[in-house]
Amino acid sequence: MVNYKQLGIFIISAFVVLIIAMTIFPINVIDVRQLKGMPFPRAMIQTGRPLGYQLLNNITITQTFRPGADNIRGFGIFFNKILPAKPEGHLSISLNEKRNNQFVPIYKVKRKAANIELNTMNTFFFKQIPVKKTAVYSLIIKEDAATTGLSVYKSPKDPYKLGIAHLNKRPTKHDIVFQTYYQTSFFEYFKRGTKFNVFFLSLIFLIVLAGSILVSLLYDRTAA
Amino acid sequence: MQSSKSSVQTIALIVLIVFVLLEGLFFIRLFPKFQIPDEERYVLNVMAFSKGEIPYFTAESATGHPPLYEAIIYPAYVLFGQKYFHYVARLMSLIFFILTLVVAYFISTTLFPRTKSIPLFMASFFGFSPQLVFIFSSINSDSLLLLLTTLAIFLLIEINSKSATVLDYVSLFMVLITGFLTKERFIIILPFVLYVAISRLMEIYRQQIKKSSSAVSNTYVPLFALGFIWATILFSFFVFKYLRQELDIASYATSVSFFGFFRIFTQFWWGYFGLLQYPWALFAYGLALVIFVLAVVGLVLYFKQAERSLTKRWLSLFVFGVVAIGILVVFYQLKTTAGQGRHLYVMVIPAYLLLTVGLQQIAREFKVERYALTSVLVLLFIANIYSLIWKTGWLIG
Repeated sequence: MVNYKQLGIFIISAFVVLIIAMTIFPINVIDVRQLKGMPFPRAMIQTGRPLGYQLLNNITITQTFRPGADNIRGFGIFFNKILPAKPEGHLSISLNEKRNNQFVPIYKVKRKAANIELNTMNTFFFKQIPVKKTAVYSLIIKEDAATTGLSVYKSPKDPYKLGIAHLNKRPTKHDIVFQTYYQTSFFEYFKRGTKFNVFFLSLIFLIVLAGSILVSLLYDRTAA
Repeated sequence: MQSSKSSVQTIALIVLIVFVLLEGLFFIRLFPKFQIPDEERYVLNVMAFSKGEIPYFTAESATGHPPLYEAIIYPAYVLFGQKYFHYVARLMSLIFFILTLVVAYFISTTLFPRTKSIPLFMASFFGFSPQLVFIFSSINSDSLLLLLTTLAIFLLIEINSKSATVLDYVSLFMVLITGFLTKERFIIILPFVLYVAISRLMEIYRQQIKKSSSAVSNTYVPLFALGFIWATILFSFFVFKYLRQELDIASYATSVSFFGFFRIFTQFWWGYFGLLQYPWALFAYGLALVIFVLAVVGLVLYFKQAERSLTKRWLSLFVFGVVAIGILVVFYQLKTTAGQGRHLYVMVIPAYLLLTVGLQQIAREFKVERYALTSVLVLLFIANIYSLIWKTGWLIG
């Protein structure tokens, strides 16, 4: 049978560890989300054409946006590989702040085209940077002369109203498929109140309970 | 005492099922429509049904696969309409997953009737994998495929280990037909079927030799040989037609990316499937790799030390199945740079059972049996919470 004393110790320990972890470690929350409210089928990631399709080298794509939080911790961009061409070359991606009508880089990253994920959100996280909610920011993606087989998806419509995508500095009527993230604590996030609070906390409670019972059963050789 | 032990095992299994159900419901509600790979393709096939077409047979299949799964979820589309269909269809996938968990538990108890910790650990290993619960809570025929493959393995073990009834054979036949109508990857079951068929035929042949004169039994040999040749010819036609999509890919250019192989490994645990799903920290994958390597070493030791038995034979077949599906995933990665960990899932039950046996064996070698499996389970339990809280992006608020 289950050793109830042992089970109790497992459950209490698990909850203590969990509460400490939720207090100490921050979570990343999506701030700007171009995909929100997208219609069938899967917003155009399937039906929307890549921005700069077949113009895969020496292009610059710029997406402007306005943050909704007071810090930025990362961004995600949806890339597409044009198969069966082999992805080669490098991409330079930068996060920029608009100052005096100029975009000034505040974060830069360079990636091999071969290491970009196919048809998924490629995320780039960094140490959080304070931002102003009133300012304009941009993501600039530069593909070098050798880059092949890779592009950025655009949306067929304009789902994100606080910014727009530019292809080689020319404005388009679209956005790229992207999102940005800010950092907060778990409990701070929950203070905002969501309909998932009770459900999610019940789930966490059940994980701890189920985990403790199973661990207790396996640990206790007489029951096994 | 025995019934008390069994009831504790049953309670543990029920707790696990309730947990999987709730976690699955959480994923179903948290992840917006069409943000889990390929969901829109399955919905397109369902919509084709509503237009009177039968994808794959009378119209092009949006998924490229046979449409049995879509036919099963189609009534939900008719009954609940577009507003709720998505949730109901995802829930149906989750139910297939839970049924798989139960069948997997019975496979483990059949193969390891005396080692009660193995079935319980295997079921927990499976149920506590956040990646599996997530991907099998989406609209995707992988959930039905996994259930049918696991059911087929269970029936084959039953047929192989006891005097099978006509019902066993009929059930197996039905499972095989439905499996092939679900996804091409079901073809991985054929070596298992072949093994059991040959074993049964050899057994029947031996019994005939004992019962009949040699002249009578000799007539069976050419008959079996002729049947085998015809079956091989028919099968070859079937395979080329059935696997045309995979065979076409062979002509694509080859590209090797270490990152791609790393991604496949990460997808087996958690990462890079849904648009709101983020990979673990590198050290967590490192830990997973250590557990994986230890399990493989333990498995090698098991095969060296275990005596010949039904269990060992089936574990050998599982190794074959897992390696074969692994080769397919590597092929996809080399040819399309789109190899995915979820393509391995058709063999996830054999894989988890092998890992469990390996871990149990290595723990036995170091005399830490009591702590090893529980420690791994604790890590899985932490990985589950870690994925849920810190790696789902927290979209909704």
